[in-house]
Amino acid sequence: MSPAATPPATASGTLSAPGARSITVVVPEGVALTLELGSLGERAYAFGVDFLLLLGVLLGGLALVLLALGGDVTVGMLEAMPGWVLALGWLTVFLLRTGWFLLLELAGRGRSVGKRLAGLRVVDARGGPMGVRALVARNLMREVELWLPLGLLLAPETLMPDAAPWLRVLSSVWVLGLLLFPALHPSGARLGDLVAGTRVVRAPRVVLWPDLAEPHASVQRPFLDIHLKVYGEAELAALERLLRMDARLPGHQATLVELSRLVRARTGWSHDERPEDAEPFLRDFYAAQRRHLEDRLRRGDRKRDKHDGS
Amino acid sequence: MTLVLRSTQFRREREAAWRELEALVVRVESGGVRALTAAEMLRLPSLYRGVVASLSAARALSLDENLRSWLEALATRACLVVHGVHATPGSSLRRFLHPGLQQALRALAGPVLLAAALLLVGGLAGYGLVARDPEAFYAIVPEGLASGRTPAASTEALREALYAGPGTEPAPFASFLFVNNARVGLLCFALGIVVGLPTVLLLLGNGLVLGAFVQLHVARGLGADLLGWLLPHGVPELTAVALCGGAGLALGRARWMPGRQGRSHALAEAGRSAAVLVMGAVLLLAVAGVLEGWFRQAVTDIGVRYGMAAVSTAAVAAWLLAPRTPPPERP
Repeated sequence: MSPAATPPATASGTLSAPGARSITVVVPEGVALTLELGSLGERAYAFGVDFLLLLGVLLGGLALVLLALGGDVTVGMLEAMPGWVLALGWLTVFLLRTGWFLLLELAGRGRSVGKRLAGLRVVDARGGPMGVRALVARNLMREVELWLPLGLLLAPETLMPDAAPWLRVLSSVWVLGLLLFPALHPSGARLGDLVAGTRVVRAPRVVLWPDLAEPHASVQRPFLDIHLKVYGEAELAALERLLRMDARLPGHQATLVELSRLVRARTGWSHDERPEDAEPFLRDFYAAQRRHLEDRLRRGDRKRDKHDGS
Repeated sequence: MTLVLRSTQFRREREAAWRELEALVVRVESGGVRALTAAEMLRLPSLYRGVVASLSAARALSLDENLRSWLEALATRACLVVHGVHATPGSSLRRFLHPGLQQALRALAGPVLLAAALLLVGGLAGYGLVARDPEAFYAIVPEGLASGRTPAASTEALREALYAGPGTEPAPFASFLFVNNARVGLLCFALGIVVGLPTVLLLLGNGLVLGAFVQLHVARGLGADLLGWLLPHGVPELTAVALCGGAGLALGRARWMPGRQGRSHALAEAGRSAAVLVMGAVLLLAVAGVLEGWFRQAVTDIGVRYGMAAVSTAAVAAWLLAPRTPPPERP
């Protein structure tokens, strides 16, 4: 990463998006990590990709079999087929249906093709090691989460030939409950996640930009403690985000000038600054403010934001 | 006044090692652990621990948000690489066959025994009900399942059904049986999440049907013939039903009585072991499907049938009760 590179305007991942749901896990090495949960939309997208792949494989296989048989498709063909072809077909469909999602997750070490595309992955809900058993458990539950509801929706008469109306109502409630379950669960788990003790989280993507506190000029502005006692860590982080934004953004320069004026007024830094020096001034101020707050952090005397204590 | 911040100095000293780990993690994420050389493989854990330590230190001394979130993300990705799933399909299959299934069975011995007991209770009830009133048979056994073998059938017809030669084609029949039974087994497990009730009903229902059938034949003096017909595939099949039922009951138990660790922990523990049992049951059902679809039609000699029953009982017992030696550890 060259120092000249500028981060994207959104600074995605620099700080977690506000309101994003997350879980905190403690890894075996004893450090707490915060993992952002995948949103319902992302998970639905990942599932859709995997499901379409399964349909593609099934239909592709069927097409191949039909081609091999000569392409003359008739209704009587199913009966005319040799028994072992039928047996093999039955077996293949069942094994694919039950094992498809497991296969994709095993092959991708916790990331099926859809999850990879959606930027998601499966992790242990408590941060422990996650084995094959967990992946098996969460995917076996699809029998009641996917295939049973799908059967009830598409072909209720084959599953329940003489079902009473109340049974149909009950099964609709069941399907609805399953669909809503991840939306209602506090950490977005579906039944399979609960049974396997797993969660689906966003695969973290963060870029490490150059340190803003690296000295950039030979002469630095000599801020004093009196200038640095106004702001806290929250304001420092906001300043960091602003300084990391793309300088080519419209209005960015004006924002910097306005902010430097504001900072000078609030901190009592009385030296005159030229408008084109707004960025160097803010970077100097950032470095000095960070040094000040980091010293306090080390002394156990944190100042979280400008309203916090002295 | 030093010109360089401590946190900046901290980063300068360590960034090379972090970047080294990042490069390794990127390669493992796209190509698996096989993408690494032996030397890199040895380096990975110590680099990982270094980053975890750096993260702790950064939280205590740096207010560079970008650095802190980057280190956290890197530690997370590396943690998933170091502690994640590395098993190949072959190695996980081997581990499942030997210590995996036996350990899961040991962990869930209670629910599995309870499932077997429910099956037995259902069987005894079915037997007793039909013994008291043969008409009860019609209420217990669905018409499709009986296929004419009812109290109305003559003893000769019942005997003939037990010794019928190849009628249906064996291959489709076997795979049809397997697929159906495996579906019921999966449901038995998965529906256990609804506090285990559907599983109990499925087990009792299966037992009832079986008991009614046995009574029907015993009453006509066909008990020994029925066992010869039933046992070769019945032993693996009923074992599989007990395993799936036990898996479902274990989920139900975790929801009813989660114990000290809390519900989510209990459910995850039960679910992971239960999943292994279900896989074992699916394997047993495949064997049962072959025996039922092919052997039962092909072999009508009662002696051979009893021999096969003994063999399948011994095989199932040898597999399930194999000693749980510690798993062959892979680093």
